[in-house]
Amino acid sequence: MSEPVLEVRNLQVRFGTKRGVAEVVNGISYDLHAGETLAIVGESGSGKSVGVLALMGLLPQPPAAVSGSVQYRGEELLGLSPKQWRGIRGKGMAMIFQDPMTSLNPVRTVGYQLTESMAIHLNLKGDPARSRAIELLDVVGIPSPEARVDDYPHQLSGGMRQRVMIAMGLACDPDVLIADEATTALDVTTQAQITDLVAELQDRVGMAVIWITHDLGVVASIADRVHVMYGGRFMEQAGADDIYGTPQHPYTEGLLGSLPMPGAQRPDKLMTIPGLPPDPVAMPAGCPFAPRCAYADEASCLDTVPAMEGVGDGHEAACHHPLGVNA
Amino acid sequence: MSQPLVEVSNLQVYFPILSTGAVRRHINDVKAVDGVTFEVYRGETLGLVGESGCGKTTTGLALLRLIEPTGGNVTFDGSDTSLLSTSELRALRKRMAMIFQDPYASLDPRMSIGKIVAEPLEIHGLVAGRTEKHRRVGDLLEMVGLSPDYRNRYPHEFSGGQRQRVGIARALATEPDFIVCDEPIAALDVSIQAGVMNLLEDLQRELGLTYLFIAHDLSAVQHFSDRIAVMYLGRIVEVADRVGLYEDPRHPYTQALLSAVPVPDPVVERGRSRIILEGDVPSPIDPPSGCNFHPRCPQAFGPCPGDDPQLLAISGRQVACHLYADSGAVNA
Repeated sequence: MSEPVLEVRNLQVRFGTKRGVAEVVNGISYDLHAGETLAIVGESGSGKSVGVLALMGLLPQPPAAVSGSVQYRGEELLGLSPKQWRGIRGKGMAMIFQDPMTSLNPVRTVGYQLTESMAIHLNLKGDPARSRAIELLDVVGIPSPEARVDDYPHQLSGGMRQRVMIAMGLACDPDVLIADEATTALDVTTQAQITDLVAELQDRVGMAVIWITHDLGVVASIADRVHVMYGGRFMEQAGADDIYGTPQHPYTEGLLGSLPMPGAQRPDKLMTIPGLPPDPVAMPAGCPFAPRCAYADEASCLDTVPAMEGVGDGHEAACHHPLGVNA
Repeated sequence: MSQPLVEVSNLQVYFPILSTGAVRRHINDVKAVDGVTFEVYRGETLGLVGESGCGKTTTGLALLRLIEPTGGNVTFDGSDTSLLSTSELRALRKRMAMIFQDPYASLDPRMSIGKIVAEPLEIHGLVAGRTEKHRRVGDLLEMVGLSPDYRNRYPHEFSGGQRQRVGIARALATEPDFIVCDEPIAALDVSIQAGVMNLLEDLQRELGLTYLFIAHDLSAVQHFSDRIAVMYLGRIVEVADRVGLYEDPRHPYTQALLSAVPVPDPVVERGRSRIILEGDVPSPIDPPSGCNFHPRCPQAFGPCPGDDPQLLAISGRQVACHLYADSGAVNA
């Protein structure tokens, strides 16, 4: 495979709080290659959103303290000045946010918001920018884009607003598109429209996508690789087929078992994971999942953080007791 | 099957739109629920699915008369709820309860959870004296998997899943027959959802409860329900048992909805073909003529824009679609 577009090494994010230091992201590392879709899956509070906000330089420091290394095409991003960042955001890496209702500016037209970044990165202004905005709205499947370009966000439905967000993300042909729970606020039929759209655009322009979600179902059809995140760490990372087919980490197994499967067969009971996710101010000393894990033992799990180790071809898990292929 | 506990016939809930200005004329209606008919049988779970804005929550609220229906009637255990006086309705409310979607908004932050669970007991005069109340609240908390020692704590001290359990304990306090569960798991994390669903199932088995389970998540509804009603833009388009609906959906909307539900298995996903619907759900203020799904329907034909299809019984289910009008259907 070619050189990765994005290399993340040992990324850590901490926040100073009244109760102490919250350890939200605790050393995550990954590579992202052109044209690839990486899914980062985790529950609320697992650090998945904060992890990508740090990547985009969108965490104000302080209160956040970001360390580690993020390299975009060989260039170190952490520690760039706001001006240097402006050259990367939008053009190199763009982000689609979770809630299109609150992340669009209510007092500006869709067209204004779409062309804002074009002026900075592509030096496109006036009519050429406007026609590119209309073209983008057409690409993301908004009917009669010539009229819609002058609409305000409140005149659009939730699905259309999310499409506008995607169009904004695509405005300057980024190499990396980060979708943070981009379909969570949408209905399933609209969600299907959006995931199909992103996959199709990705095929066409070859960008890499990081898809952040809590829903293992959504990413099954679109992810090349899946990283499962818990307590600010990756618990397991593998190709999509391996994660769903032969999960090795007890947390992944628990997550998959707790999903109701659409189908005629009804399992007797859904699997449940007892307990609650860890408090980032008081992270367990060992494996963050150990207090809830059925396989945890006192000898290693409670004291030592397990390292990410290979358990199969391109399949790694951070667990002292991986489940094994026949689990 | 046993007797229906709840019968809903031609239920309508319209929210009026008034003009602005000195004289506020009634200019139009939001037709949130527009002629819904179904039954819920004793001991079963009827799932009600649909996308946001289709009127499923309004239907649930109108069933308990927490919203006054505009038309149609709801019969609960033989008595028409629209004819009841306030005191009769209050007596009936003991037998029906609701579990709300958002466990953060549906518990009063200034009441301890013991008080929250005791409130319905006090209102309906179900406990005589403090000791009995104390014991009953303890029992209820235990029933939903919370320690009775938590009774003096406040909602903010609990996680989302635990709060939802408090909401369930409150709903169970009056020993109801019928519970409307309005998206009880939508606000919870995946690993917590399963616990709440298992609890609801256990309680149904132990207490013989009847549920109306309202959700937008088709996988959860399918896991949980005996029969499923699919709603679109204020109407029911299909009612079938869970296996029938999954294996052989008849209404084009049901087919599209099912095909859009992501399956957490990439191998299965690769073999599926999705029906992607065009456009958005139309406004319930001015719904399309005839079958209100026809502008988005991939199979729309001659009669669809003009005639409103009735919910007809065919091979053990009900479908409101012109495609099946001639297949020996009988008026349901």
